[in-house]
Amino acid sequence: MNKLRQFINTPTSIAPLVVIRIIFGLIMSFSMIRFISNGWVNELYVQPKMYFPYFGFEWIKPLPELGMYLLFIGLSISFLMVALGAFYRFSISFSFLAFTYIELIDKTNYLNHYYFVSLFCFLLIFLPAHRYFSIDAKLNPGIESRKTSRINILILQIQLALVYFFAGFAKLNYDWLVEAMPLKIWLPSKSDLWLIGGLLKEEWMAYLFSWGGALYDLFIPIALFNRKSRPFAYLLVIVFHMLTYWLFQIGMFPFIMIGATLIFFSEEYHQKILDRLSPLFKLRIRAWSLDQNRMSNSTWKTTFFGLFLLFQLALPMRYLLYPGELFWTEEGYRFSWRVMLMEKAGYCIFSVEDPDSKRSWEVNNYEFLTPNQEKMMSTQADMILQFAQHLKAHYQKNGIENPIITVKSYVSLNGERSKLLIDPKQNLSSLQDNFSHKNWIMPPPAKYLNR
Amino acid sequence: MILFLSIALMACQDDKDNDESSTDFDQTAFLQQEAELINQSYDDFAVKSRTLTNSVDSFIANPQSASLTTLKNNFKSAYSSWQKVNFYDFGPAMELAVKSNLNIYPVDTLQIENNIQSGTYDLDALSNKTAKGFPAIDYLINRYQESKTISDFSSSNRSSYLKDLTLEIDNYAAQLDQAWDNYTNEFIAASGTDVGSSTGQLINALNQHFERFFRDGKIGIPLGVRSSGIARPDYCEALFGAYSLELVAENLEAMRNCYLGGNGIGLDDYLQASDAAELDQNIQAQLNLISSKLSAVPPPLKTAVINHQQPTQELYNEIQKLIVLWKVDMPSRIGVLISYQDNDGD
Repeated sequence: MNKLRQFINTPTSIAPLVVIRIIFGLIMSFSMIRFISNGWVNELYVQPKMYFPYFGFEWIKPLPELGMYLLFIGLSISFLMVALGAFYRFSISFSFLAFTYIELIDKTNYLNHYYFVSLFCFLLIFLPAHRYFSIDAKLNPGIESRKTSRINILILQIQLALVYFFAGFAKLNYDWLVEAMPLKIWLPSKSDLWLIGGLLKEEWMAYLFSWGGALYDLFIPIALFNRKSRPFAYLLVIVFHMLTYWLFQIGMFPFIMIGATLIFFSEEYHQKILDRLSPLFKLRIRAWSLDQNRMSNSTWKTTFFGLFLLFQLALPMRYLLYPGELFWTEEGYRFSWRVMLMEKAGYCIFSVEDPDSKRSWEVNNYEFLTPNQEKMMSTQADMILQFAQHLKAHYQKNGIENPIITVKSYVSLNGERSKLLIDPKQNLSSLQDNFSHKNWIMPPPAKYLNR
Repeated sequence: MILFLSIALMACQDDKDNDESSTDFDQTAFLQQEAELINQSYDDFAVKSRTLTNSVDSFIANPQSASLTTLKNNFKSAYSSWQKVNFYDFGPAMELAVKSNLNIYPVDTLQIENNIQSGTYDLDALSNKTAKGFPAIDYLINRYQESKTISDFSSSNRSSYLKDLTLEIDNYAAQLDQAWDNYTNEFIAASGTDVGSSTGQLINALNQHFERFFRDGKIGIPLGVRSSGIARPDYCEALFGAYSLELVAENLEAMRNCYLGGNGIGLDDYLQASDAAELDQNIQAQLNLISSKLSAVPPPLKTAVINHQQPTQELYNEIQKLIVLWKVDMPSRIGVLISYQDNDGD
């Protein structure tokens, strides 16, 4: 225990932390501008008439249009300030809060990499990434430090390792490994790609990508931790993420990962980067000045990081608490680094019955939902229930006191024929969402039973 | 790592022999076939629209029983031809916004009469979207008995309004026909199945039309499934000509033809090449079932939704089942993303 404490508190160069701060800040700042210019602020946070908040966060509501735009512009500025190390604690805290707030508005837009960005921002709040090569250190030389405790770098490395490990762990399933699904569907659909397009039609490519992807995710953390394999491992990181960027529409994620994994490189390497950059900013690198006092080896912080990691270990495993096929029920699916893992499509027909007038009719989903919301809702039980509850409130407002709401939800998983996801007899207006198992979810397609 | 990869590679080469699911589908040939079908449909629509304009001219010059009958027949032909192109709502059709200009119903008859009376109107104005296109012409020529219609058209205002409406359709049809010719190469070149690809656009457009304009617009809304179960006969297409069921049949036939690729390579072949021959059979059987349910609804639809709700509801239900096959099962089999929006995934 003492040895561990000694290890994680060893003074080490702060350079890796600083480089990551700059790269992450710049990518995210650009990412926010991209989000605005793609028209997504309007599409995702202005146009929808209703939202799907997370359980327990129903009080989170979007701002009016102008507010949403200002928030994204603010984020773009604050991430830039993070990169520059300007008013760092404030700018990274704002970045974390604003970004996470936006993500909490609507689970339609849940992406693992957005979750990763939130976590990364959260950790950076507690890391002294601004103590060197920053505007803060320039304005206030008192805080400048070229050293930091090893734990401040280790925590980011472990967080990244967990992302990869769990992404790989999630791929260890029958569909992925034995059937090469869903890549067997996805890859041939890209057969128009330059150079490798023709190859993607070949079935063995789906197996190669499935197995290669799983092995990459599982072993890349170890390969990155190991000094000898690191250069090769980083080459793999670049190849892997650029391939995914090329093949799939996954936005900024590949660049975030390629940037963030630099944290595994040695301090000399990072120092070299900073030395190259400094003439650009006319920064005079100060002489070596190791000041132990500027390093806060507080026990509370170590404990805090420990608890954080425990939570990060436990959260992706929570699916074990639920019965049934995870891909079908998606109970415990989010926040678990299950990236690009399945092909799921669905179509929901909601029926409303008014027990008083005995009349019944169907709901026009697109009257209430954007196409994207309807698509995401159609395959996820918790969102189906949320929408049904929204419908209940809507019809109650229109004078129907006890609407009976049922759904025929056809869902296709990994190219299998579609099947009802929700019990079509279940009156959804009598239910309330919670964390317990949803016993109104129907059994998965036959091939997922008895496995 | 490399070792692992090569083991994985060898492992799967073994079972390749007993599984021949690798998609050997000639997508270019498929897109060429669909492009040709679309081309023929646009050609036909342009010709029928021009014929309609000509018969309006004859009728206006000489409003009498014979010319009115010709006009009505040619109008019906053009309206039927429209049913063969209305679901290709992407590329040029989307850019020209044809759909939202030619067939919005029910019409606002008051607005139409006001326009006629004042004699000044801007057909591009938003307020006139429900006072023009096929539904408005249907109102003008099919609403009243022959004698009244003929005498009404002694008013030059009424005649020129009718002329303007047909000219607009004629213009759109000609533009579409031309624009498609220019777009064809681009359409055939955009292979793949992602959102911007032609296959992706075609399937998404087909589904969007089938769900919103075929199921809802033509059957569901008049039947009342969108109005708390209360029938709305006034919401029928071709309300005054009262042949909406014939238009439904035309539209269904055209979408079936698109699915089958005419006599050439179509989505049916795409599914067969993707190891989903059974799904293709189910889809074709469902299309047949819809046809037979459709012929079981006694025309006209506006009275059927009140007096024969059961066969109409059955028709609706069978249409609904095809949506599941077309929108869920088919795209997930061939890797098309059902989305009318562009977005990041992970």
